[in-house]
Amino acid sequence: MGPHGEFHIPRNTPEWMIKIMDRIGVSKAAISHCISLESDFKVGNAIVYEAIKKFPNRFIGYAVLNPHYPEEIGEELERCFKHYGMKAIKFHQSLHQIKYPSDFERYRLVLEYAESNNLTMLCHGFPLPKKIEEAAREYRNVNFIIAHCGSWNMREESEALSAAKHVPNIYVDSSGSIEWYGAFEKVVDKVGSDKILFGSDFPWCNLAFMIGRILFARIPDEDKRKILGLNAKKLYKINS
Amino acid sequence: MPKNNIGLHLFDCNSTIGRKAVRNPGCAYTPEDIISIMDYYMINRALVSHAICEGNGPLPGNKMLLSEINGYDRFIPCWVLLPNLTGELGDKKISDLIDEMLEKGVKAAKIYPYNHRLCLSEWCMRELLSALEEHRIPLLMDFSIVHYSESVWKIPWNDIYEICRNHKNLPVILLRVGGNVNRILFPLLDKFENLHIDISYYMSNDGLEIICEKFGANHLLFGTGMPTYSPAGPLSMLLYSNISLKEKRMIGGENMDRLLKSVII
Repeated sequence: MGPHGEFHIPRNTPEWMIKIMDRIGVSKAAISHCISLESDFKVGNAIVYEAIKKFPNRFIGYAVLNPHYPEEIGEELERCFKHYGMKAIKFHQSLHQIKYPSDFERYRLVLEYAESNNLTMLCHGFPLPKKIEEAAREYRNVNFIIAHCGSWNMREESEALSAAKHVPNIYVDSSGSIEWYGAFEKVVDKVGSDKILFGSDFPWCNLAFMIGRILFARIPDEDKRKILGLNAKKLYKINS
Repeated sequence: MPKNNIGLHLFDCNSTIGRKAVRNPGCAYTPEDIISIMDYYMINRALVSHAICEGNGPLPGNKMLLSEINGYDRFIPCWVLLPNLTGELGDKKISDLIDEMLEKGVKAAKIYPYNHRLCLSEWCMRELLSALEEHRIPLLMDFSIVHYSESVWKIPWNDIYEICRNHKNLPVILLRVGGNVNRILFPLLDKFENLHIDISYYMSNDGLEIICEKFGANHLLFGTGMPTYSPAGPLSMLLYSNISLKEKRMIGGENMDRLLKSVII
């Protein structure tokens, strides 16, 4: 949610998002705030808290932690999970410019916390999907979701898809900016429908556009149900 | 003809037939392949050009297009053009070539400014643009955008402004415009009735709704980019959009039909 410096994101408030989700039939969304990704992670987390307080049955909060501010991470984790009631963690290696393996080490404190609390972590998977795989093998109690894997071009070897196939606690989400014809079916075939979650990048992208990839996919309805919600219910421990 | 339950007659303004050097991920390129995709997505008709035109220039591809789609009444042909001082379109003057195009039933033209290394300034394009404008032939512009972020720099926005301003009777259609250029696109849509975009890659949140409300549904055309790109996203976006059924029908096909019917032969 929220505005983005690089381009116009219309109707990015919680109220607008709920209206649009209602129209398209999306009952819940796990959200973070653009301010957390591009400026001040603590300000963004606080705004997400207000949104989940206002719409507790519709929004699930991601705590965004920025490894460039390591001294603030411990306190922010406590605030997000003890006070804000957030359910999962989000890393954005790209916007936070985590370019080098040594940068990734700065996530260590967050990974330890997630391991102790059996949390799910959404990771913008590029670059460094290999590092996510290593972390997943080390932190077995953490479920990792590698984002933006739905538009694989079917040529490039995808480390993220292989990791999701072979490592039990790695999942992928269906978002991804390029809608190659036939690609999503190949992703399902390669990874398996138990390991894919619907992701939209909404409101950064158009929710209806992104859900079309799953609704129109030439895959069995049972696979669509898992991807559209059943898998997420398990990961986020949602009962209703 | 495939039908959907809200009476949308879908006319895809952005598709190709034919192979490219790099195989499409979905491995579809023959007219039969494309028809099969259209059936699955309930698309009635498609404006098609030949993929060879993008890779090797217009002459061989335009000819192949007409022979390969012969007998398929769901395909509407679109020729790829260039400014012709190089003679790459043959010896004919542009105006004679346009006459030939119309005689053969081709009522839409496409250019690839990025891959064909065109300069869209008036001093380079005037003759071609004026000839198309004289006949009100819709001009589709494909900037070879793969990722939406490229919309900012692959599209020469100042040139689009000048073309729309200098050729007010020329319907200009920008293909695969991303949802990340509203700050540039909206002022242009506000100024020019002759500017259109296809919705194949316009993933702006509630973007269709906002354009319909601010500038009118007449600026939007249903397009997919198939067979390289999937119709799933744009179709889902159109079906779920919070606009009137009348506007959905306009975007789905009526706008493109109107542009083709307005061509002066």
